[in-house]
Amino acid sequence: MNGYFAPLNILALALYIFSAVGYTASIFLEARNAPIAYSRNKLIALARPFLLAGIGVQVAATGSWCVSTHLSPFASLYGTLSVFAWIAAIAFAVTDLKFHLPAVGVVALPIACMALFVGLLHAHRPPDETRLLETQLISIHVLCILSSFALFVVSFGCACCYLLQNHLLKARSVNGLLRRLPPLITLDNVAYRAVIFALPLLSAGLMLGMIDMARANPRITPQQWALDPHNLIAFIVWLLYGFYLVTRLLMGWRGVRLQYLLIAGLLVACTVYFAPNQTHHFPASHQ
Amino acid sequence: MLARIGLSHHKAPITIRERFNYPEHALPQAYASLSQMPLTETVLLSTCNRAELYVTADLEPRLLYQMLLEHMAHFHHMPEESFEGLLDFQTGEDAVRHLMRVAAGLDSLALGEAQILGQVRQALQMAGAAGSTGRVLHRLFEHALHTGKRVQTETGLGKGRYSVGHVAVEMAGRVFDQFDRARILILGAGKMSELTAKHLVERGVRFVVVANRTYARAVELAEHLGGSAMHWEEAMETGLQEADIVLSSTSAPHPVLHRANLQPVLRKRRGRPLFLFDIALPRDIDPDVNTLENVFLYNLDDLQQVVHADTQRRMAEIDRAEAIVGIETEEYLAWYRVQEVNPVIAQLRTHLNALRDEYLQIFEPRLTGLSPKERESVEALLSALIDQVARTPIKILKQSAAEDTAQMFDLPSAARALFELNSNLANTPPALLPEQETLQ
Repeated sequence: MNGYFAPLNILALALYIFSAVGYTASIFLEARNAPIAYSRNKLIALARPFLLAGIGVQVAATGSWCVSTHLSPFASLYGTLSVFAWIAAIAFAVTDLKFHLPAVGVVALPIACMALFVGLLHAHRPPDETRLLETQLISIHVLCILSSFALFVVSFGCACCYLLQNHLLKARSVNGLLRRLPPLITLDNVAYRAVIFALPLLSAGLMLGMIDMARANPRITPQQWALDPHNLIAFIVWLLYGFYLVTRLLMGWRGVRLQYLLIAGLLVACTVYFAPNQTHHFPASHQ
Repeated sequence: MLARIGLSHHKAPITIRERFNYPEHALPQAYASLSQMPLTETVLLSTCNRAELYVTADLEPRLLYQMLLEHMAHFHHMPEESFEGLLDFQTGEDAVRHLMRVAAGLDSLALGEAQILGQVRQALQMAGAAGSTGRVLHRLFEHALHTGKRVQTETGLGKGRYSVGHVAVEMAGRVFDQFDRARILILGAGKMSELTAKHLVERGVRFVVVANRTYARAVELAEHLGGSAMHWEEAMETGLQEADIVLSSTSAPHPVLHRANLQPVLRKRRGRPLFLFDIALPRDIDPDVNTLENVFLYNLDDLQQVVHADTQRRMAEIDRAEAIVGIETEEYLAWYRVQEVNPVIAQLRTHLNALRDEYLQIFEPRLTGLSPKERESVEALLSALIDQVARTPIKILKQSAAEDTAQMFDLPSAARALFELNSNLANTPPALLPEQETLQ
């Protein structure tokens, strides 16, 4: 029924794992008998095609799903997580190609792999074929939210690298790892750029969700909406990243504390997966 | 005897090294103090990583060591037992090889660094100015400089980031992606600051601010680096607030930057990373500063770690540099040993010339009938004979000294005995001297 969605996603998962291993090895492996730069570049040169191939395979998988089911991939948790993994992989690929930050892949790619793997665990569940899922509005709502979360993954990766690099510099632990991690300022800037794109997407996603919910359930009060754990978490995430942007952009703050804020933001966002929902009408894609 | 005593970063921590530093202004006093001792020549080599004394003296090694130890304790006001275990004392070949390795950058904290050559040259100049160098140490230091240059040009040891400046650039690059946006504040307008700042400027740093207790000196260095000067008090507030990288290399005896005076500045910096390089000895920045958030403090000892990380990759270059050091050490030692037999050769020549004159005088009554031309011929004949007789012993003496085989055959003693140069050795039993081997 799902066409080649599952086999192609399994292939994509394998490609992402190979890529993640390549990126991780390029950062953590010490080259004993060869110039470090040579070995490192070779590993990255191997990891990148795997990543791009995985992204391509996921395009085919999603296309296969849409053709065979005539439904949006967001009609199932499996599809939603699959698309999230795909966007996260694209977000990292762009980051790596534009800013040359393979270290961020050490964090971002395992998260994408995990999302795809968890999605595959839910592959047996039938898609929700309710009317809402067929509207373009809700698809854009989910797409916006997922895109913002994928960008938060990139900022999370940057923040983790920042804290690690900060720790190594503080501890004067001058080893190869220190040299392979990007400069602090680069990580800070890339994380900021990711959030500056992500927050408007999250805002748009939340607004579209509210509009759609009000249209579908006119009886739901703002109080009920606000008390929905999903909405509450999304709002907290929005506040955290909003606070980050205000302090970074308007107050000019930098440094370690902002990185903790980025990490906290994604961790809170991840709790959406575990939170029960009361006002959403498509339990298959929102647990 | 040629000897070297001193302590270096290998054994002595920065807390000890800073106590034994010989600042430029203290060198005349140090040389004056050394001149009171029975030493023939002295050169003081004092850098951030070492405080070493090279001497020549006609003393027993143990006695010389004790004398130099007492001098160091007295001059630096430190009890002997507090640093004796950190000292290195070497004589002869070991001392020579050590200086060659130092000049080659093989003993440096930043392996292969080029700055040490300038420091060795300066040490020689200062010793020359103090009138404490002679032929042996002057030649040794000149040879060491030559060795250093050879290593710099003939191996890859001098390429890359091997000086404090290079390491500073490398470490700052772990924080800042583009140096053209970074602001650098230089505290203290010393040579080290200048050299390190130059590396950063070469890497693209455009905003350089220099602060010094003597404002005129700050202006001078700022002009040299294409930056601007700032008064010290202003630098401690505005300067630190705006800077991304701080290079501190003042000659202050105590730290000039503490956690307490940096904290209010950090609040105004709003979390912007601040990289502090304390390249002064004694240290300028309180180590506690590193515990502050978004502040990275590296002193000279910390930079050693950076250098060690590169050492493995350059083992082949180290081997090549060590080979050059070995060749140059042997070359110097060959010259040095010849110097040891030179007095014997001079004595031999004088003795033979005296013999010639003596015999001319004895035969004077028989030479009276000779014309001046004939007399001149006789004198020339005698001189040629003397030269011919002396040629082989002198050649063998020099050769065996250069090859360090003189001790094996006891050639100087043999020459003295053969030509009755020393009455004490005249009674030496001929059987003890290897006549055949040495004079053939």
